[in-house]
Amino acid sequence: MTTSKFVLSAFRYLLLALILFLTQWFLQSYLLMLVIWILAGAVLAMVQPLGKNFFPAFWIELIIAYVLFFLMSSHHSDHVKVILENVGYGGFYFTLLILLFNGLNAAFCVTLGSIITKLFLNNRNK
Amino acid sequence: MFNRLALAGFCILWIAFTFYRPMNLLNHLGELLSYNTGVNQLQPLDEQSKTLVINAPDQYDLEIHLDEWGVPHIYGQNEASVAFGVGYMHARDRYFQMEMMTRKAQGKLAEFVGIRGLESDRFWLPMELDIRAQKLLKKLKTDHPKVYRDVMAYGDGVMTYLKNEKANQVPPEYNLTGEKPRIWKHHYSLLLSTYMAYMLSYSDQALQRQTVLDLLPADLRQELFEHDADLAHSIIPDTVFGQRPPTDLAPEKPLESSAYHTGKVLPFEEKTLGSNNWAISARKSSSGNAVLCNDTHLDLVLPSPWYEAHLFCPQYNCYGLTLPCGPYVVSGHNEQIAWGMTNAYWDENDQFELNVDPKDSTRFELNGSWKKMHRKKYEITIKGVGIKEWTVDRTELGVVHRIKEKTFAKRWYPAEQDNISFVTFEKMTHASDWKGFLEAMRYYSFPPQNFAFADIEGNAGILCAGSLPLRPNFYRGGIRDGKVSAPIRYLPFDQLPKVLNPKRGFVSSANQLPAKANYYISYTYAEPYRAKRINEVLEQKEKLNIEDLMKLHGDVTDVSVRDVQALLKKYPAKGDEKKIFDQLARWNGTLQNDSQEAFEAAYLNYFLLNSFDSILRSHYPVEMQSRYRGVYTFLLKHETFKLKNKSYQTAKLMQNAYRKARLQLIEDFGPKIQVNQAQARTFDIKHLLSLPGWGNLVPDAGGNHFTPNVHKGIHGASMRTVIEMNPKGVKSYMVIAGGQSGRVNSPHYRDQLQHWQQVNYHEVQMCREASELKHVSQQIRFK
Repeated sequence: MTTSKFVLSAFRYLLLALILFLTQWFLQSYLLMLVIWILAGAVLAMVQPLGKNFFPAFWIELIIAYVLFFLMSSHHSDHVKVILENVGYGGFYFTLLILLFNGLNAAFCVTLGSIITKLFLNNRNK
Repeated sequence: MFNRLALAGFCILWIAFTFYRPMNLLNHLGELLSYNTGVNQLQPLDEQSKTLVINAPDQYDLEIHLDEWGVPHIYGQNEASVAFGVGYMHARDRYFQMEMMTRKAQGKLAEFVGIRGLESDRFWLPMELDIRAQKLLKKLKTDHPKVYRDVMAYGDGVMTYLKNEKANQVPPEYNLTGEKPRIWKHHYSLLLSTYMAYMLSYSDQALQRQTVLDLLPADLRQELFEHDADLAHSIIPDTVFGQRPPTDLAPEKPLESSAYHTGKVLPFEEKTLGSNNWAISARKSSSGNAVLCNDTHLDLVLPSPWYEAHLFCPQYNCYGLTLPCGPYVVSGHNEQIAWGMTNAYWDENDQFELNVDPKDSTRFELNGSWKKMHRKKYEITIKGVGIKEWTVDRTELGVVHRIKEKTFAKRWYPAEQDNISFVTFEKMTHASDWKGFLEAMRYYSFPPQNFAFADIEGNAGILCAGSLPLRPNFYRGGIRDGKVSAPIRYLPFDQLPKVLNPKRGFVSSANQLPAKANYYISYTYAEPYRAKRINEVLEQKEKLNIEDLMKLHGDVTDVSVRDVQALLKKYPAKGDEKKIFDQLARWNGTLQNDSQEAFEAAYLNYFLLNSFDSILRSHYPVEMQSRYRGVYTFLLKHETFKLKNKSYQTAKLMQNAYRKARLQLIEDFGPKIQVNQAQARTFDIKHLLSLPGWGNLVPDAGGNHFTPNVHKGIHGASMRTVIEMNPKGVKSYMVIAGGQSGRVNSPHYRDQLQHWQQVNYHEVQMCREASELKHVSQQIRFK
């Protein structure tokens, strides 16, 4: 990978991270958040039609979810941990559930956006 | 291309999955597990800020100071301002609970919880309580302007809170269910009394009771089912309830036998609700001050039904437990008197059999002529399903329901008249003596309660209060004749049983028979054992101190064991059973949760009562099981007994029960029958919606429905109060099962649970000046 490609890639994923973070931080509407994530996937596919976005989006969201849920809001998530512990599950399951769900959610939305864009671009080029 | 399409399809499936709503009640998974719409909604309330300043309507002038338990001390310039403060705090801490309660009473629960609320809505909607509450509010304006003022101020307080609530601080249940708090209306407060009446006085057992009346010979029924023999343990043992027959209603014609079998047998009386109160007068008290104690056994849920509050204004200084939706202290004290209640279990239901026109099923015979039923269509909105239409037939005698070829009308008296019990509590805040207490109680209607009383003069008294409908002479429960109807009348207030400063120096009640009565009150009360135990402890010492009385709240001694021990003595166990049950014969009846004897007694009871019951029902197929005490005394009295010409030997029945109990004990606890701590039970205090994890597991306190203290099923003391009426300053101690806040994300959601479980209390602060309060965690000012 040349330096310029690396910088472009890093910039792309930094932008994706920013979008994922800000939408979760500010938006009160889950539906709107999904739409923005799908659009983010579409934009990524336009910038780099050959790139695969599933795993990058998954890992980025894992980090963001960890920061949001467990570092910035530990006092909130403590209540949820107590609830899970009352049901008989340890706090670990809560961490796992939250991270996996959000990671997969971001990955599938971004992937959907990029696939649609790629299909659209392919059809236009034919 | 195909791979991409498949992947896109998979992505769409995932996104659809995130919109799945668990239990058709909760919000969809995506919102629940995302940050801003999920966990972030659980951020703690603004309890960190020392002072909050809130905009409020000009007419209210008050300050609220919260103590370390989250108890609000409301200092108002006038009574309306105090009521405003109560409304504000109830909304802040319990709005979800308030919405559930009012929705239920209105018949609008399914709109929120979906199909699981349908049954409840079908019960409540035809009562049209919402419309009635609106009309009652208008009536209060002219008839009881002070209560009207307080209800309006309370509603303003609720609305002020809701207006100022930030979007991310709504109670978590709303976020969890994807709903929003609905707008509060002033008349909702008036639904509370009827809701409580349902919780405490609704019963639907007339059909089963009728089988007892129809099928059993009178002497057998008297011995096994009626409470008359328990007069010695009644609330007021030496009083006759009503001095003369109060009704001139003619006896109704006996109904046909065995026409009402439902196929459902009501189990042995194990009241899921039960409460205790007692008050000692100055001469019984070691401090020379009257003391009042109360523990109400409402459902054990989180949040607790009770909300502690201190209400102060120039007109009164009152402290105690309020119920969310209402502006007044329901159990507590002011600076002169204290009061606390137990449920009275009066019969407030009638079920009439209608004679329906064979040619037209919508006509029925009443007072000699055919009348048309009123048919009305109702719409129930069910979340996730849509609108369901439902038709109800109604008569003057109540809502019509049909069982096979029979048609009945059900009347529930609390739904028949305006409930103005709020007037009682408004007057109680100002009352200063027994006379003022009685004056306040004059307005009390539903649910019937036994109110204990104590004052700073050292007096202790009790009044069994409520609206008791008058029935025809000789009525003893069961189905009533629907061919005749008379205007509804209630027992006059002056004839209600009451006593002030009885000779024994104390009064007490535990849901048992109130007193000897000249007419029908009810056929179902709590068994007398709990009352017997309370009275026994109160009588043991000549003088009692606060610690003695607190200890009684935690007492788990079951005196019904003495009846079982008498049976053991008369019909001793033999062979393999002897060793086990000889041990039981020497036991003191203390039901610790890991007590071996407690398990042995429970197993023996189960097999004894059920063996007897199955024999009885093989001859007389009644649909209620006998009373515990009825069976014990019957077996003690009769060494042999005949049921429809067949003879039975009690000794044989006992040996059979011993054998079955031993075998089951061995099966459950091994050949040596050793109960260890690991097998001791824990007890789950559930959340209002039974949301998994939102409740709390606590160790079982032991005890059963015959002991003053118990946690079992949903049964237990939802609060405890001990109030010493010291003329120099009332000292009181309280605890609720849970905490002040209904929000799972509040430190006060369950902070009193441990104290409650250990039967500890916090001493309350009843300062006249806010500046004297200790451990203030937050101040709320209104401008």
